[in-house]
Amino acid sequence: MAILQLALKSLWNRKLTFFITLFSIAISVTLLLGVQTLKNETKTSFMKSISGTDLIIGARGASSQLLLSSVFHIGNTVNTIKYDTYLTMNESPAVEWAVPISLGDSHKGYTVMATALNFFEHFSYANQQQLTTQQGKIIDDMFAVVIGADVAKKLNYKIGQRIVMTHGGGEIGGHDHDNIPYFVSAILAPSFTAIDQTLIISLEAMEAMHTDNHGHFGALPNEQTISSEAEHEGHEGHKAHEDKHESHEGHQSHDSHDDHKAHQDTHESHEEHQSHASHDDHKAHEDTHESHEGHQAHDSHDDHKAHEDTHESHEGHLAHASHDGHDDHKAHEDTHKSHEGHQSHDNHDDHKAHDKHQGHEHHDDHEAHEGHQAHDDHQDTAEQRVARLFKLKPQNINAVFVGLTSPQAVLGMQNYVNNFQDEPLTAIIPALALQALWQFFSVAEVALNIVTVFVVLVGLLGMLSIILMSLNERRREMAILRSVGAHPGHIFSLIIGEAAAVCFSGIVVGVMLLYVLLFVLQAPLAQHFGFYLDINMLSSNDLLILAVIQLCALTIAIIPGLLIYKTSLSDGMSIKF
Amino acid sequence: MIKINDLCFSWKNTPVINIDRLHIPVGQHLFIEGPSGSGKSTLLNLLAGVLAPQQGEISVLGQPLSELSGSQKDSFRADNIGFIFQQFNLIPYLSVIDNITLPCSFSKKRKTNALLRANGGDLKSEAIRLLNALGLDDNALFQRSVNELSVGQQQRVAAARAMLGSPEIIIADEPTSALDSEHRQAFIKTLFEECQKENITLIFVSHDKSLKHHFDHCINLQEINNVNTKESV
Repeated sequence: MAILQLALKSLWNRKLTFFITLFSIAISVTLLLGVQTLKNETKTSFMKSISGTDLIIGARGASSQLLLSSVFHIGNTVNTIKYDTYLTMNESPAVEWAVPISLGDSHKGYTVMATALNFFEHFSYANQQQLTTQQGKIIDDMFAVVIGADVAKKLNYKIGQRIVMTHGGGEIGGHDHDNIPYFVSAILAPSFTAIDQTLIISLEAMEAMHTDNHGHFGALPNEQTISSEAEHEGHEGHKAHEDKHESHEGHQSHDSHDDHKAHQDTHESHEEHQSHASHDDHKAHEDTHESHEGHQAHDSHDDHKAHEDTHESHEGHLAHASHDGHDDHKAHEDTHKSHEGHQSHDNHDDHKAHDKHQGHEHHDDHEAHEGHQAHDDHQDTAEQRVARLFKLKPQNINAVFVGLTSPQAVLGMQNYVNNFQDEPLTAIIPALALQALWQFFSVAEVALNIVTVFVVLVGLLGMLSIILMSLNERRREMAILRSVGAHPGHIFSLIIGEAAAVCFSGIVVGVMLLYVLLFVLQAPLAQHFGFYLDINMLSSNDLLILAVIQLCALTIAIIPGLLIYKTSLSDGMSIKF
Repeated sequence: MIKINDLCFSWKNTPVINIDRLHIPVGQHLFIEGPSGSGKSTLLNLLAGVLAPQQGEISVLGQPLSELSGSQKDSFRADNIGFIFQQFNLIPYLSVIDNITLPCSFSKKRKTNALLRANGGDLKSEAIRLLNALGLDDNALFQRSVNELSVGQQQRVAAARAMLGSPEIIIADEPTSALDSEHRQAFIKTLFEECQKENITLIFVSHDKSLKHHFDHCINLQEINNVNTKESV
């Protein structure tokens, strides 16, 4: 062991070159292990993208394409399957749960995924982990959007913010569905899957955007003109209100009944109404009138027109939204009552039907308003309101995530889906498809490996050249050692020992450097790139790699070892310079 | 006892040394005189077993070197021969003490001898004893790097190393050429005393004729070497 001690002391004597060599090896080791770690972590996070889902069902096609589009939201999703197929699958006895997925829209480059509410209940990643919210609540609202952690961070979105989706995948060039804005209801906690870069909306809303008129519904059939007028007035929320009023009026105008006319008049002007006060059927009208009076008192307006104006104002609407028993509302009810009064007075069948319709509509409207109150300022556009009323059902979807009642059912179910009668389908088992897809990247993996191997080789060659350069100036040292009885073998092992020491300390420093880097980079990587690095102990594979590097260093050191062996044999104790 | 008979050595087909006969008895202090290039270094390497002659026989202490393998020769050298060179005798990255005890790393015999002489002390104390005997008694000196020593001090450290563990033979190759005349006399005097005390055979090689008078036996290498070295150089 005296030789090793000598080698170490000799190395220490050449600190500068020793440390340079050491660091070149350390850096190459760090790079090699770092690439290995990144590779493994990428693979792990790739494999963790989905779990707990037994099958993914999509249109007939390549399984990798289905996996890429449905799980990673990569690639164009042209092929769709019928929503009815999803319903059929959902009813299959082997299926415990099924979640429909629809893709194709984007928001500022981020994927928009439409799904059902049970997605959050069933979708899991990594080790059966479910998606959790970091802010807000996942609510059952047609125009609520749940956004991924990255989306929220990069676009700086807050709960309640209104956003617009774009048709197609690109950042530019798509058609903006600006008439159907969404409000952010929840921000998900980072999952380090594609979900982080995804906005999740309801299937109904997705369908609303993709009807033939791209969600430009206009208005209900009998309120078309006015709603289009209303569109220019600015305050959408109120527009809807006005629509209601107008439709009410419109309804009245359809009626040729005298009383009704009088009622309409009441609406139009207080004085006019007063002039009608002597009318036979005035009781009901008086009711109406009273309500209007109350209203007027509140608004400090003389005629109903003015009252309507107030309606148009934003504040008026807000006040309405915040007070259940507000005058406006009362007015509505009163109006409604007055209609009932009408009913009692004249048993017009048509009129009844109208009444029912109005009542229904009114009720819907009210519900919608309550919904709004839950999330503050959000107000539906006319289109949204109408879209809500349409109770849209999706026609087509892109994929269905399926959980089975028993794992044994997977193959049977896959077979059933692949041979589905109604339309051509493909069912993939996510774990297997992920494995198969990963093979795709194996070429890149090999290329990466080759590069890092060369980096290590360069490091070792650097060590070789530095040892070789040192040999000449160490000939005296060798001669002295020879004179005190060192064998050429001792001299040889001195060189090998030096290489071993340099390489070993290089490896140790390299590993330390790796862990320092991992610890330093972990947070920023997760934060800025959504890539979660799990810091593990060195794997047996890593240790094997390190052993191979050490062995390579020893092998390479044979070259200078033999050279000095030869020189020390011929030099002997006399130093010929 | 060193015996050389019909020795012939050539370096790359050029004869360097051709000595018919050279016998050196135990305990003799022999001065080998020869100008540079006369084959002194080659002769010393031959005696040390580092170089092997193409012809002839060298036997050291009754052991024919040709019978030993390479590593046996190295061990034999480590056990029995101490060397002092002209200069740069010391390994720069080792301390004074480590330089002196270096032969013990390669020779058990010398380690045992050294420990025996230390009277229960360790190698370090024996090294210090030798240094003191050679006139180096400043203990602070021993902690310094060998590069900080003067040439004269370095040569004495080298002498201490050659003497540690009492080898049978000390071969000195121009050990005084880097010293000034005052130090030269003192150095040779101490060296002689120590060798006498331990009954060490001393082979002193130099081109400096002025040192000749210290020795009872002198050989002129040019006279015994049949190769005309002046032509070959």
